[in-house]
Amino acid sequence: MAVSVHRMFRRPWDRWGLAFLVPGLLFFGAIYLWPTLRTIAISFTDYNLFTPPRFTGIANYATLFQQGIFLDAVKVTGIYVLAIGVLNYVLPFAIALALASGRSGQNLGRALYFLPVILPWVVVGTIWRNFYSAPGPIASLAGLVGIRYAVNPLTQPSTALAGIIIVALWKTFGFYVVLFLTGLDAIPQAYYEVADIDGASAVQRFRWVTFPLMRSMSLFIATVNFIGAVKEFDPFQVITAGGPAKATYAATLFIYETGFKFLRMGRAAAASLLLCVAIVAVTVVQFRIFRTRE
Amino acid sequence: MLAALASGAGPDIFNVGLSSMYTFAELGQLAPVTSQVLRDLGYGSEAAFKNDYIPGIIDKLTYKGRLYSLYREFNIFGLMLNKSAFKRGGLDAVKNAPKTWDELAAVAKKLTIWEGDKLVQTGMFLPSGWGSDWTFIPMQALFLQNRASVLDATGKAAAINSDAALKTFTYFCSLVQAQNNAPVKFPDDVWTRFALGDVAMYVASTWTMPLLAGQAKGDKRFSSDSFVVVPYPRLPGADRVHAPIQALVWSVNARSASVTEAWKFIQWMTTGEQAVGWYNDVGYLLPTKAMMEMGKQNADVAKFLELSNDADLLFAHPRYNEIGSAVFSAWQAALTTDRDLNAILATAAKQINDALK
Amino acid sequence: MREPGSRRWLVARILRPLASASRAVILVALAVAVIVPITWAISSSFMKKAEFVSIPTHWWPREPDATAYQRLLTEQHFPRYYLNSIIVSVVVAVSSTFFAALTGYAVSTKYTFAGKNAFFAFILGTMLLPFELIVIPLYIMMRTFNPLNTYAAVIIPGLLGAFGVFLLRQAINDIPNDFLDAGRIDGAHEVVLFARVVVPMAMPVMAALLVFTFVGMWNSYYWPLIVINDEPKRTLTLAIVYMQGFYAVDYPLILVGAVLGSVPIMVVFAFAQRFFIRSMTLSGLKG
Repeated sequence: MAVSVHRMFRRPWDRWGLAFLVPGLLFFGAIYLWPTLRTIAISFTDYNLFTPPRFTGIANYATLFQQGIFLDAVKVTGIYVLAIGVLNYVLPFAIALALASGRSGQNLGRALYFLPVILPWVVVGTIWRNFYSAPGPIASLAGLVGIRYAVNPLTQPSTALAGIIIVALWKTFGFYVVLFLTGLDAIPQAYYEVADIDGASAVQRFRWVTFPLMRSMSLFIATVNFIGAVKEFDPFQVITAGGPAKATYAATLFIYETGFKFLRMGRAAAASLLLCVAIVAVTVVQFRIFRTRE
Repeated sequence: MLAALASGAGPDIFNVGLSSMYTFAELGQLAPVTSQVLRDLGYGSEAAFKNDYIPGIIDKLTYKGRLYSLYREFNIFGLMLNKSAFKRGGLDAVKNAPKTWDELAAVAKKLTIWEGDKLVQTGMFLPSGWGSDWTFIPMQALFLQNRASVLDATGKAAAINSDAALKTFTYFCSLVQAQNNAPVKFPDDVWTRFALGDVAMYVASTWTMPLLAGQAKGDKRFSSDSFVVVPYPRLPGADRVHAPIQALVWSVNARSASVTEAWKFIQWMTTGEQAVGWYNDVGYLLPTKAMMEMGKQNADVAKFLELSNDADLLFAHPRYNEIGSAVFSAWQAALTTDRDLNAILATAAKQINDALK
Repeated sequence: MREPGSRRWLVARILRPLASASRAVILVALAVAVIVPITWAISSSFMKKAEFVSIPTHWWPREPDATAYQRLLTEQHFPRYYLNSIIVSVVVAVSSTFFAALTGYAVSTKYTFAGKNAFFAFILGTMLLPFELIVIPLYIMMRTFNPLNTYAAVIIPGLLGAFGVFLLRQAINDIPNDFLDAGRIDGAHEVVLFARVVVPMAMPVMAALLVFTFVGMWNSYYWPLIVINDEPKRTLTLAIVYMQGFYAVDYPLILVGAVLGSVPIMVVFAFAQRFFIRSMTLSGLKG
């Protein structure tokens, strides 16, 4: 079915649509598509940036799965993503609901909770590295309530990841609170009035009015949150540098080190491709789950 | 640095960590000091050149028989003792300086002072969380004294799971556990603590004194006279101390158009006035004969130069980063988890062997 | 209906006030949790090192010492880092916003042409790509076409982003067609229409995107880390990363750097706060 030039544009001015699109398309093609293709190519080679790439077939992929380090890194990322995916959805939602149901403090709350979001990770990481120390500020505060805070969680492999998750939540929850508030604002008051007339309890109101009408925003937040968590690099590097004993050595850190420190670009490329595939797969699943029904 | 070299637009002269030098040399990115260069620098032979330095020091800068760099920073590590802290524990820093590892443990115990349930002074700071890289420094000495090594004699396989290595790890972990109540806030702080006299013994290198002075700036409790440097303890039966070193080196880009000029410049920087001035400013010591002259007036310099005669790298290999990462992870795991040391070392060995393939 | 004992009474007299009170408590607790680390960081930046390590923690400097600020601002290349960050962030923010508007307009419902939706899906897809995927070839590209270690190298990958395109597309979709139709009837050129109609109407969202992109670029250090070698060319955030130095770390000094590094963004943010949050409503994300 040939598309003639005349059928390509429905109206005369639609050509300009295409014209306007060209710069963007070129850009994305050059900066995203082309490098992606090259990365796919590199993933099948042995490449250390100094000597020309040497074709090795699927050796890189095989090694990734054989050597424990990559799989461990994936595990770290998996735990992190699960925790952030759930907590950074439920908590901001609850907070937004709490903020919205009152009369006062919405704007102040929004602005305040948003503050950590705009700080660079380097700053947040440095602050929290110090803040977590034992003895230190938390120990003093805990002492006021009689709790003993003896060990810096970042120094023990069993608790280091949890420590980072808390910081990540601290830093990003405000962003989602704001988004949720926006979504809540959009629900027409009429629906709530109907629910009240029917004598619905708060829980029922949420289940039958609030939540269903927030589906689009929910999907957007869940997706952005998830993708952000998988791509996360800064906190792991700045706060614990992947330690202790690789407890916070996420997949992104693995890729960075393998490529730029160990000079195994081919293997790093293979790992990042696998990461990408995982992101796409889960995103598709999320779209299915949150499918909008009107 | 990596970026610049990879792009072929790297500078003529650059400095890297000694451990990275092997990687770059292997990749052919460094211009070696050839006999032509030596002649241009005014030396008849390589032996004459080496004569300007403390014996044996320059050998560490060679890779596959060729010399690729000169020292920019040469950091030799020893043990630093705080005299007032020793006095508080009833000991004398000069007379009771520990000469064996068991002595070290005993002294550390004696110098750990509690007032009620508050820890007032710690004998030796051996952090197990961050800063465990500093804990690694004395362990490195013990490791080599035990005749353990990261790579085996051929350099082609891991040897980190040997019995000697296991023995070292076990002993050191027990030392660390015993010292785990240090009153420091976080490891980077130990310098301040050490400067103020709350820690009796710690890692030291030539840059330590200026650092301590900076950390404790203005505080009356600090005085540079209260510190003394000694070599690390020695195992009975060990042939040497194997003092650990870390170094930054100058190298010349293989693609440089003016290799000789570059080497001339490097040589100028590392000998003569500049080097001495540098030492006075930030404490960077270079193991040259010129420095040794200076050492005749400065007791500290003399001490460190003395240590330099018995210095060793943990290991050298183009894949230093990967191997080092495995070793370091094993070290952290040993200190912070309860996992069986054999298993930890076995994992490290496997990782190293993977890296060597 | 308000008889004691009925369900309504229970809710009105007990549950509702209780909920109200606990709501207040939680929100205040959160506010405290957000503020405490930040104020501690700021006050610590005014402490001498020796005071910083004292136990128990000093929440407020007893001997305030601003010399670290003085040192950092006058010494080294700190002002230069500021300049670098500003240049890079402003260029990226402006370019990104402009092209996002242009491209967003192109793929919005205002135009129809073959393949439009496919192109949009492609652009959206780039949001899914982790940066690691493209960083190596991008780096090689920089090496081949562009001298590394320049402003250009840092800026180029940031000149346009899929998020911006998505955002502006939604915003432009909401612009009533009448304006554009009227303009076309009058014979106005498409480019003029874009400049005179679309841009002004999408301005709130564009302003928000500007701020958002500025902040994002200011805070980024991964790409600059890879691409910049020379110390004077570093961006501020990258410089702070490097300050987490070698042998010992001067935390008050780093916190000073951190505070100074955050001031511009806080200023920009406070200034544009209205646009920022308001426009999230306007963007039609809920639809």
